Amino acid sequence: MLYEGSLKENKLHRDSDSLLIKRIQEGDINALRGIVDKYKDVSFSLACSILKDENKAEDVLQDAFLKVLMNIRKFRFDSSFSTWLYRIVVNTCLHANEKKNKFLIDKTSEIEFKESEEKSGLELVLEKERKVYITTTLKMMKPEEALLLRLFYLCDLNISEIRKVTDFSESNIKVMLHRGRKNMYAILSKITGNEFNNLI
Amino acid sequence: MNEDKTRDLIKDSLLHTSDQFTENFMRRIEFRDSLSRNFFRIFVISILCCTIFVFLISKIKSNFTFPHIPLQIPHLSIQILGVLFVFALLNKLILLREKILKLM
Repeated sequence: MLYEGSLKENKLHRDSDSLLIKRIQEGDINALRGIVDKYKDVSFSLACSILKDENKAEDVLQDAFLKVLMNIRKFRFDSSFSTWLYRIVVNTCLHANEKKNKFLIDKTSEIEFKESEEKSGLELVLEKERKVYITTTLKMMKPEEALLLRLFYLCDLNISEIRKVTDFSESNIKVMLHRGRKNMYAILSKITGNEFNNLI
Repeated sequence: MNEDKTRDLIKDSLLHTSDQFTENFMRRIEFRDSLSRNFFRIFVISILCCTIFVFLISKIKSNFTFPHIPLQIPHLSIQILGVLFVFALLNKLILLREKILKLM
């Protein structure tokens, strides 16, 4: 029942997207506002997974939406719009990040405990908010792991859709997701300490 | 760890853009559109000017003295130079447009 409900919800999403996309393809720029409003936060979260800098992520996201507008006539409804959009967002972020060369899939995934630049440990402990903890955790994780976790759990994409977005092989995605989950809980337990059980 | 718990946790990691994000983006598109339209006008005017320029060049005398030495330049060379000049100008215009669009 839950699965059927989710399928119906997905179909509704796709239908509303299709209407907006057709309007944009016909030249109605205002329809783009609907698409931007709908996808900006999820896309922003994905961009932050790669870039680790919210200001830069917002600029890059604007470029990504501009690319969407410029290429929207090429979209043929063969795949879901969200998958197509996330692919553009991820590619634009990777291109922006190219010089830093942060996104390496061959790197062995070891947990790197870096100090958060924005908040001290004490502030984090005081805030004790789930959202702050999980956002900080994902920020501390490797870009590809944080990205895959968000694509899988936040965007609700399946493995083959993630493959279309990232170009990673399916086995690679499964391995990185497993590793990502493990690392996420390890970092989370490290930064939350005794609060870990209350948090989840 | 349970999949549902992981899902719940990561759903909480949704980040939000600044309040002006959509407005800034729409303004950027409007500005880009108006720039494209203006460039199109400039492009058309440039082509017209270039056509007139080429026409005038083709009317230049191929025999003249400079200052006292009689010179003879073949008509075809003058026309080729004119066409090359026009192409260089149009190329510059296109490059300028690309640069501005990249900066936005």
